[in-house]
Amino acid sequence: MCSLCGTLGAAAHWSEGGGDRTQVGARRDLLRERHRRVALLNSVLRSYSLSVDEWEETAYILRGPSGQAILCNDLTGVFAEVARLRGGVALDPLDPTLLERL
Amino acid sequence: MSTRIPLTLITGFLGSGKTTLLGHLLRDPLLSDAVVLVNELGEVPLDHHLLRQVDEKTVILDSGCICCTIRTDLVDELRDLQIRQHRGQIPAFRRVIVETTGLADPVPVLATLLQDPLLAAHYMADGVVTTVDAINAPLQARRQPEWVKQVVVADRIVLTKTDLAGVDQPLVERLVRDRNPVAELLIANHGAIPAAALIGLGVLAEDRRAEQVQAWLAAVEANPSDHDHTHDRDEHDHHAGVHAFALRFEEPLDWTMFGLWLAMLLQSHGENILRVKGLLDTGAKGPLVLHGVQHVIHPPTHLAAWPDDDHASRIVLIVRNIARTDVERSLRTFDRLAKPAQSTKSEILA
Repeated sequence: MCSLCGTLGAAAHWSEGGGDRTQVGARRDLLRERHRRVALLNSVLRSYSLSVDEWEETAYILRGPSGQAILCNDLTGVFAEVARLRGGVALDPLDPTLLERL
Repeated sequence: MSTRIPLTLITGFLGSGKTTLLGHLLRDPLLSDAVVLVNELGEVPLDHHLLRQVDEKTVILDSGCICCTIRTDLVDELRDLQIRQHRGQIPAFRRVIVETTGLADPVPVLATLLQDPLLAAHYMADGVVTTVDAINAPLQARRQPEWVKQVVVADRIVLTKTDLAGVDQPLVERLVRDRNPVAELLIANHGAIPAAALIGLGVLAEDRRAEQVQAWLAAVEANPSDHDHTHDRDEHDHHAGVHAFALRFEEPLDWTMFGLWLAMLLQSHGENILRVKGLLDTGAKGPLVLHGVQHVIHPPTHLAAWPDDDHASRIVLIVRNIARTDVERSLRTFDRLAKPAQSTKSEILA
């Protein structure tokens, strides 16, 4: 999976590989982690009038400021779409203004 | 232990001695059961039973991202080899060597191995070997972005032509070390290097991942290039601002937030995040091992135990024109944002 454009979603995204999925309850943990990821994403995106919802345990729905709803496979897809909604300007985690907003 | 077939990538700029090196390697019994994929069949001075030619056919996806470039030639060839081996139409092989062209970007080869489900199941990158022509390295380092990329992604760097008059070997070694302090540097004697020094590196082997990160940390400490330069020294100087540094975090990192942060960083600075490797304390018993080359992040794995008594998160990055302090400040800020969120988890999940 390319981490820039998020295409070819055949394999799980690397960011979802941090837990041990072989354990009993792994699916429950995965779901809990997905919901937590959404909450953390929203804590970053809200000051840009953007939000994300979990969708069927397989994708995320990115909602834009004018009501757009975009289905994204994974985090990489979310940030690619965020950049698209911002006219090609990616959210930069090194940007002091963004860090200030957090 | 993985049963996937290890694939070694041999790259290097035009005329840097890739084919000569390959010719020597193929005489080694270690490679008697290797498939070798080359671009110019006639150039390798050996009749190897599994020597095959591939033309570097690439497909660039609509996104235009270079790391989404799929080497379709490799997909076709490696799939075909698996099928034919399964049918008994070719001898069983246990290794694959791929030689790139002199102007090739090695990263799409690594990406292809991860992106194609069948290839991901049957093959695993073993390591990248880059040949560097000691005569021309000073010029190529300044003028050729391909040279820089090939050096940066290397796990082993083979200096060639060091015996020729006019070579300033210490300068060449410094040029290479400045851009890649983590690769082992070897000197070729007329192309001769023992195959064992280049093959079977197992850079992604699960049982060697912690050792690999420790080697990186030691290399970065031994070759500090930790200057926070973010400026281009010369618009034609394609290696300007390439440097390696290590970050250390004593407290456990929130993995969910780390993934979010890194995905965001790769989206906004991907072209300048050249390599990343790390042992992360995510609060589990053992560390999580991270390995990435540009946008290509390999699925992280949890180790059962820490390799030593140091249980702090340690991350090595090789970047271009990005300051260590900026990266550290950013990651600490994001991680802090996640920590209060943990204490109000029920509120978040509500």
